[in-house]
This record gives sequence, structure tokens and C-alpha cells, in this order.
Amino acid sequence: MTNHTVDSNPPVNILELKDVKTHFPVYKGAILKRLSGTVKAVDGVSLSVRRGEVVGLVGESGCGKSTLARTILQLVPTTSGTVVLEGRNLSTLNSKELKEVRTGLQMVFQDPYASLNPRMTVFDTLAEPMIAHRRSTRSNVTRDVADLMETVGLSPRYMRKYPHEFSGGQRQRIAVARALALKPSLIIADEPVSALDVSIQAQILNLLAKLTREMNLSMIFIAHDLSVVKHISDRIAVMYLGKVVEVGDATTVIESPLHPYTQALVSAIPIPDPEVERARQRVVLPGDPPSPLNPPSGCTFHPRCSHATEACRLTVPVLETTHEGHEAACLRIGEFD
Amino acid sequence: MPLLSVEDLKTYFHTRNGVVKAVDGISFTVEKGETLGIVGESGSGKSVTCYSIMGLIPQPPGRIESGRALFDGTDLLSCSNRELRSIRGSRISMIFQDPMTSLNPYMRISDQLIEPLLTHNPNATKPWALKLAIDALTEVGIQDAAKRAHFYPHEFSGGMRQRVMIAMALITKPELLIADEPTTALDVTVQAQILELIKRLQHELGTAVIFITHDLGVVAGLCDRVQVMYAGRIVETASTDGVYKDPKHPYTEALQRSIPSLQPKGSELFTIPGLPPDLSKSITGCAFAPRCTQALDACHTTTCELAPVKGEHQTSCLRCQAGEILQS
Repeated sequence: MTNHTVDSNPPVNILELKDVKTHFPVYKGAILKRLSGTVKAVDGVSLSVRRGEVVGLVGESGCGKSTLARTILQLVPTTSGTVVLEGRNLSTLNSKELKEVRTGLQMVFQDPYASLNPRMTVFDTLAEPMIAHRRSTRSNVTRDVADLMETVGLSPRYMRKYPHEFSGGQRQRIAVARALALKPSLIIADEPVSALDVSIQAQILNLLAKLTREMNLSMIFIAHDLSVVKHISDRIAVMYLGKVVEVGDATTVIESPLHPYTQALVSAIPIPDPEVERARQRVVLPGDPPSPLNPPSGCTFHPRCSHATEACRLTVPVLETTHEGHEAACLRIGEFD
Repeated sequence: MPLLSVEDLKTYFHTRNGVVKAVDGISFTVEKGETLGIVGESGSGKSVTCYSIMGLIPQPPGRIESGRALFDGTDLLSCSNRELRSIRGSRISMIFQDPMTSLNPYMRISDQLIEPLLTHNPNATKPWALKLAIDALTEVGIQDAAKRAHFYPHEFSGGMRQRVMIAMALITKPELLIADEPTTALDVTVQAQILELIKRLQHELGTAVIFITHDLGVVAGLCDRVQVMYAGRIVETASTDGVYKDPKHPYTEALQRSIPSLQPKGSELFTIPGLPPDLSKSITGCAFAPRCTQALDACHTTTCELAPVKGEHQTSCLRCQAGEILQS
């Protein structure tokens, strides 16, 4: 494992987000464009990822999980706040510096059918980043690609095949291999298993768990399936409408959630046990998440929250630490079960 | 007499790369008011089964090679188009997976909702149908239904569109509802809402439901009976409790062991080695045998049929039938 930091004593936190905001302007009018509003996709997120740690990011669609991932990669510019990767503030870098930094920051996408170039063989896909960033030479690249394929459990025999010749699970392995090609320190996996069948999903989860452990990789694992996230993550951050509403140790967050939204999410997971299912009382959230174009006042969750009071409508809650490392943004923590 | 009785259904697709046996000889029944879950991975034939019953298989390339689907005495597979039309959409209705594409974007919600009422009832008037439509929308939890009924689908969120689909499917008070992965495209919180809704409406109307899914968790909370499909065949069928507490097929057991929520955190998940078979090749013996950790030589050569092992509990596994493995 190559260490990219020049620092002899690398910081514990590999990634630090401080009050990151990503807003998108919305224009109205065909000819005379006027600013009609802002979508606050990510609205003040502070989060850190330690070396070798897997942080799960959960939330409903439209809560800003993927925008946050794209912001970390600087694929969309930050509106305010800082993204610090291994001591370097990414939002101040120029494109040349970014290119270099991004080698340590890779991504695995949701749909392995769309994220691989159908006209490139596995070899082309995996060799391209190694050659482009001079991590391998023309004479060694075949061997390096073969090594990489073995790491992710693919036989190097398939090196000259095209993506359409592989199954969904194998394609996702290729996508993981591509992310590993430059030996990154942080991988962002955006719903890497949601397009896969249960049995294939298990293979990819095992692979990701093994790789992070063996290569001391850090990972941000984005998913909407809480049981998957709980299984793979060390810590979990729950997002709602562009904000982190709860963060803490994975088991603690799922087993004793503090925020009413997390409680509802946990209660919505179907449990594959008929007896448990029959016995449990579900907290069914009313309505849909509100539009980020026009978020509710105060705590953005208050219109759907059964515990909301007048204060929740007026005051914006901030993340508060309760126990060791367990934080939640709710005015009424501890006032209800 | 069961409400729906499917016998030896075979649906093959004749493609350039050979004949794909998507559904290869399955038989099952659905009783009045019961919920049957059909579980399987992609390509196992669960959707094709239901599309065949509804006469929605594109022919060609698809062809229903054999079988009967008796719905209240009428064979849906051989009856005239006219007869099928009088049943489909009125006595049997269907909810599809993707609410984003299953509504017509050019039609107002109200017009789509009243269409089945007007089609299946020659005496229906538009104002009467519209009133029923608004009631149905209110019933599925859409607020301000009288106004929103006149919206277009794009003005609704995913969860709301799926509610509209449910309202549309149930507006004719069908005896059988086929739900093809109705919650797969939705968020968990919305999924919970939709499942509660299906459960409640089913209870009130006494509709029988065939619920197709790949999510074993969803089945556990909803279904009375489960049948597990693999490679175009039913490999196990039993009560929901039977399938979860006492699986009688190595495939079912393996599926359960690969779900993260049932495993202690951090432990390695069980994975099924290999891949599902290519359905265009002929399969001898048990289709799961090449991936099964407990297969014997006989499993690769002997054709296996569903047979009861414990009361209603049926399995196609030869070794379970012989009582050699998965003993309770």
C-alpha cells in the first residue's frame, strides 16, 4: 500500500468535511433567465473519515447523499465549507493538482452495466488509469492488470473480454478493480450493491469488506438499504434533506437510534422473519420528503415527525453529542423513546 | 376450488441464440383472499409467470408452449381475446415495478383511473366514475384528491405514483391482484407505507394477491404462502413460517444465509458459488446442483419434481425428499 502523504506522521482523519454546502441555482424563464431559487442539495455537512474506516451514508432518495459524494470528488464545486483530504483542501486546488489528488480518491458506481465502457476490454479499462498516471509501464502493465484482477476475484484469463460478456456481479468486480488501480486511500461507493441480486450482493459486500481490511482502505459506503450499511460500516451517518441528522457507531445507530427520522428508517426495514414481522409495531412516516427547493422551517423533518413541537418549527437543531461519538440533530433527544 | 390454478405452464422465448426456457413447467394455485409470495433472483421466471397469466408476453419471441391457467373456470391461456379483456383489468389487475414508466405521461391521473371503470361497465357515466376515482385516491392516502386527480403523472412523486397505480388496480375491486416488485424502486419509508396500504386494502376487499419480489424481508411481513423459483421452476413452496423457519431446499437456505441483516455484524456473508444456469441450454437433473454444496451425483442426473415433505411443504430437492439434509 503506497502512502501518498508526505507527512511522516499522517493525520488520523483521512477526510474532513467542514460545514460543506453545495447549492444549485434554479433559473426561470426561457430567454431572460432569472434566479428563482436555490436547491440546497448539501447544506452544512461536517463529517470525518478515519484511516481504514468504513463510513455508511444513508438516507432517502434526494437527501443529498450522491451530491455529497460528488462534492468530495470535486465533480461539483462546493458553495462553501472545506473538503480536506489528507491535509489538502480540495476546493482551493487547480485542475492539475486535483487530477493528482483524485488518484487517491476513487469511486464505484451503482450500475455496473452503465459505468463500464462497453467498447473497452477489461484490460483497457484497468490499464488506462495506470498508464495515464504512470503507475505502470507498458512492459509491466499486463502483469499489473492480472494482479489487480486476482485481487478482486476475477481470473486474468478474462482480460481481453468486453463488459457485456460478464454477469452483473463480475462487472461490479471490474468496477471495484478500476477503483483500486491507482491504490487510492479513500473509495466512495455509491449504492454499489443495489442493482445486484441477493446472492451476488453478498459476494460484493464480502469483497469490499476484505479489501478495506487488507489494504487499510477508507470507504464511504452510500446505500439506502440499512441492513447492508450496518453490515459493512464502522460508523453510519444519516442524511435528511441535505443535512446529517445522526452519526455514530454503526451498531449503536441502528440498534438505539436517537433521531426520530433514523427510528422511522430502522422501523421501515423489513425483517426476513415472519414471527418478528407479525409482532412489530411499525412507525410509518407520513408523506414524502419535502422539496429541497423549499425546505420547511426549523428542523426540516418536523412536518413528518410525530414528536415535533412548536420549537421544532422555529429552531434549527444542530448535531449534539450524547454518548461517546454518537451525535444527533434533534431538539428533543431523550424526551421520547 | 382455488381462485387461480396454474397447471404445467411453460413459456419459452425463441431467440437467435436458441430457445430460452424462461418458465419450464410450473403448477400452483392461489386461494381466494390469500397472499402468495413468489421469490427468486432475476431471471428465475417469476415475472414471466405472471405476464403469461395476464397474456402480456410478447409473441413472438415468447410462446406459451403448454399449460392452463384456470381463473374461476376460465382458462386464461386459451380463452378468446374478448373473454380475456373482460377479466383482465377488472377481475384480475396488476401493479408493475416502476411507477415512473407505468403511467401514461400524456393522460391526467383522473382519466387513467376511470378508464378501467368505463371499459368494463357499459352503463358507467363519467361523473360517477370520477367520483369513485377520487374516493379511491383518498383511500390510498393522497390528500386533496379532488384537485390532484386532475394532475399529470409528472407532478407526482414516486411513492404517490405507486399509490395511483394501486388505486387504479383496485378500483374495479378485482378478485386477484398481481404485484410485480411494486416497492423495489421506492425508498424504505415509502415501501413501508405501500406495504401497509396493500395489506389494509386486501383485508378490506378480500382480494387475493400474488406478490413477486426478490426481497425475503418484504415477503415475511406480507405473505401467507411463499414459493421459491429458480431457473424457471418452483423449487420450494410452503407457508411463510415453513420457508423461513424450516427451509427444505438448499437454495432457499443459501438465500437466507446471504442476507446481511440476519448475520452477526462483520462476519463473512455466505455466498452461493457460481452463477444461475443459462436457460437456453438444456438442464439435466436439478438446476441448482452445480452450485449446491450438498449435491450428490444423482442430483446432476435425476430429474427432480416438486413433492411434499411435510404436510403442505413441497420441495424439489431430492436429498430433502429423502430426508438426508435440512432435517428439522
